[in-house]
Amino acid sequence: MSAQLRLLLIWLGALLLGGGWAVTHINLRTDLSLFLPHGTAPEQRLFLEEMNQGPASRLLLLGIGGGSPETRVALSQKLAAGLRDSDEFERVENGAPRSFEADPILFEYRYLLQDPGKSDPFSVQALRSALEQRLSELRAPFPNPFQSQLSADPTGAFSSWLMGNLAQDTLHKPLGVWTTRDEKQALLVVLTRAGGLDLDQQALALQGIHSTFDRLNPDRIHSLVVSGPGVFAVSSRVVIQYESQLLSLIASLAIALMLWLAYRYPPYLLYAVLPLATALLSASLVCYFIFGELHGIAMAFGITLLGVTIDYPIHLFSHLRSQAHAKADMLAIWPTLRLGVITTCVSYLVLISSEFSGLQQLGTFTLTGLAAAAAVSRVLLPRLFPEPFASPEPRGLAVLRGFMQRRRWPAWVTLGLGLISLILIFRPGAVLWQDDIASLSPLPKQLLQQDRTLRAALGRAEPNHFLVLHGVDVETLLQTSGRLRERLSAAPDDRFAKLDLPSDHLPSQARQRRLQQQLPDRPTLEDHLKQAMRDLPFRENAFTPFIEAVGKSRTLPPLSYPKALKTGLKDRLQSSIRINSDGARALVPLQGAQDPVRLVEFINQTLPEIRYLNLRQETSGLVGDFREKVLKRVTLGGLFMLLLLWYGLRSLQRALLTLLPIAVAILITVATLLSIGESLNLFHLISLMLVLGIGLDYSLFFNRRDHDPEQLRTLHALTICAISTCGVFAILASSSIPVLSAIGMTVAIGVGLSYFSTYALSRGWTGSADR
Amino acid sequence: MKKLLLISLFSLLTLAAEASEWNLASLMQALQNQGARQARFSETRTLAILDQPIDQTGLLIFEPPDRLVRRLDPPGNLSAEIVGNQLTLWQGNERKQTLQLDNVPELLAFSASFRAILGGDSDTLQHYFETHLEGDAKAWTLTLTPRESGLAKRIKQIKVEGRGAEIDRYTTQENSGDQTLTRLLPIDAATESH
Repeated sequence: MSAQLRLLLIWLGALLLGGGWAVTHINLRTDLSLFLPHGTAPEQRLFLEEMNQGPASRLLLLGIGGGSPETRVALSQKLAAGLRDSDEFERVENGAPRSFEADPILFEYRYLLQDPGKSDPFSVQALRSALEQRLSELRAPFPNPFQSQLSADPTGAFSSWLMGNLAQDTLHKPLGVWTTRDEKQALLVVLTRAGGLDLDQQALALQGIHSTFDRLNPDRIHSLVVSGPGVFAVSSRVVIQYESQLLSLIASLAIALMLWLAYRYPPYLLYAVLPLATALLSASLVCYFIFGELHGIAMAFGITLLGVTIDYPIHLFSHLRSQAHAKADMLAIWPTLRLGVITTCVSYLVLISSEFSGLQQLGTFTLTGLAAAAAVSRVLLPRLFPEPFASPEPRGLAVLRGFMQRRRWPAWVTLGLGLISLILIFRPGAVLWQDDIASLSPLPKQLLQQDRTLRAALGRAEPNHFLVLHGVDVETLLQTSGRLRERLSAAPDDRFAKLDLPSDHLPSQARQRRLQQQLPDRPTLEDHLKQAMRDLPFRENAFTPFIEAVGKSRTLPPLSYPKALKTGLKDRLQSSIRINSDGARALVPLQGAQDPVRLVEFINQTLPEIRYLNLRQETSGLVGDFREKVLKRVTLGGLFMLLLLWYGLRSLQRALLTLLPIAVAILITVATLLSIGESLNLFHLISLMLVLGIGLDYSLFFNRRDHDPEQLRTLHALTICAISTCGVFAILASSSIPVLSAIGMTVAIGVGLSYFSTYALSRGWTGSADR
Repeated sequence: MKKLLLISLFSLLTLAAEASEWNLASLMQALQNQGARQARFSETRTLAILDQPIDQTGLLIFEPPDRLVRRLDPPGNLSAEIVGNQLTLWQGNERKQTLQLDNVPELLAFSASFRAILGGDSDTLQHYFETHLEGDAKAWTLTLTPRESGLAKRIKQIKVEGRGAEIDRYTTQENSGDQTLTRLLPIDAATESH
């Protein structure tokens, strides 16, 4: 067995063993929280907490389509009943009021839960009109569900309170269940027991929904869409796994084809893969040992970025002369390669120092991979070739020879385009950055659109504006909320009245005591009732239970928050009030408020203790701040690169001339992205850093001062590198995941332009053109 | 002795055969054969809290298999339409509200029993109620007792009286002591009486 073959077998064996260990030991984390920024302000943290664990994260929105309106309604009812039977769901609502059965505790407290405001429901006049109203209800064509409560509640205090609660549900329900405005979908809302980030449990719950639906829809007439944070988390796991596998398969095939076309020498396919495989394995292991875990997205991106390491063997393949000594040829190109690798690594150091733990992993992964690939390309790869080695002649040299003829126009075109781009980017009014956090979402746009549609139909649009109510305990919180309600109802316009405040459902105990004091005493009530009943067909003592209930309400201990949690109020209270170590808090969405600015002004003037939270602003600020930080580090990294180049090339002028074409290429890339309607986000920025690293490689090689045949081979290597990198990232650009597609597009355009720009502007073969 | 036994056995069998000629199944079959129909009705609600009953008249429309309309005469002018599982309340020609019946047990029981009897739907009837039939084809009384506890809490008994395939009286007795008596007059009879 030759030494080369032995080395190859050992190398492959080590990769297999290491790979096997990695596959069995490293668990991929697939949730998205690592890619969310950590909030710094208390409001931000509150929101992020809410997003991760709050009821909002457990909410699923369902839409039933197909069939006829009637069959959709029937299916909505059956699906709701079916899901209620399962213990995976805490709550299932389809808009149909479920029961008019009185909650005994709430019924007992009916005179303390509702603020009658200025009107007195126990005046003779009010009682009279209530009784007349009840009488007309008794004539309804079907029995009144509240009829049995009539003698205990003739003023309808409980039923109007209940109806008031139901009336907040202003959604469209022409047939008694929630329906979209266009009446093409029946809607349901489901609250899972499992947390939104508990992916396995969420997946089970989703499976439960779909199998129940399929069982109830045996003819497949209807369709079901499910949306919500759980669906996002689960499907992004699936989509990311599927797309990254599919895309990397296609990319590998494309690279294999490229290598075949360029060299027509099968062993090269294996040799080219070895540094890449080594890079992936060592990157995964190092990441795992440093972070104790590996994030799926970090790995997917990392694999993509490491696709560049296939350049290293390509440089060697193209530079091998016939009757080559691989080690010597490697040594000849190594200084240039080394300078490129080191400077590229510098740009990934920026990622490691980022605040997103996902990006830290990505940075570590890529840095380790690059270093490992460079090391094995230098040390092990040349040893796989026999000495001397009859190397295959690279294909296409003849074509490339034509490009060796130096012409002036490419330089002028490049510089001209660079100038135009400069103007385009820095013209006043150009929107360069997109800091909306939604643009960072790894999910397909269609899924997000579907979610927006369902949310809008269910009136659960994710609100961006909140009022933050705070109290040392729930009682103080409810008192503040009650004061806010008072001010709002006293406000000149009733535009703000739509807000849903916690005190609307449970008044503070202080408020309940005040309401108790307003209740009439027994003789007064008896007297009023007697006058009100005159000439009406009610029996004389028909309302004795009512008189007793009002009397009892005067001495009832107020309904406390813990006791209220045992009633039907539980869901409403728990969805708005959060209790933690520093008190109680409620987030009130400003959905109904059309003019939040004026509302906030109004509240600031009257109740300064209530804070206002603009989520979009907060998160955009967060993302913007972060982007600024990254940009600063990139600038720093660029300066560091320049210093390294100055040292490596031993000339400041040469260092600057090496960087110039890349700078021009990046300018044109940015201008191109802007003019096709992309505005830049964090991921574009990271992709541009990759472009910087690759472009630098090209520039360094183009500027090498070698004699003619070397230059032709260099041009060949760079051409193969550029075509394969462009191809791989163009494949990535076709992804339905916005982040992958943004990275793919940026890198494909950027690398293509870098290749052209470094070719046009490099001074490496000026001499040969002159000769 | 043996002979006597045989004779009594024979007479028992004859009795059973006679009984089988008039039972719930044959009543339901007869009602089913009636098909679509309309009738005027007069209704008396006797309620514990009122010292005089509420009297109302109206029109009842039934279309098999599951459409039932109760329309009150002016001035109330309210009507309730039940189709399938869905109850719609109308004021004149204006739709006021739509409810899904299975969310409102009282209405479900009411519609289930009323519609099931008019349509001769024995299965639905027996799903909600214990049935007890008395009398003969000429004059019968069907007593319904709720099976399900939610319904039983509210409704004590429903009594339906009729002759042949005609329903005369329909009485709902509630546990609270309230009682609703509905008398049906065939539409022709009703017009004749006017």
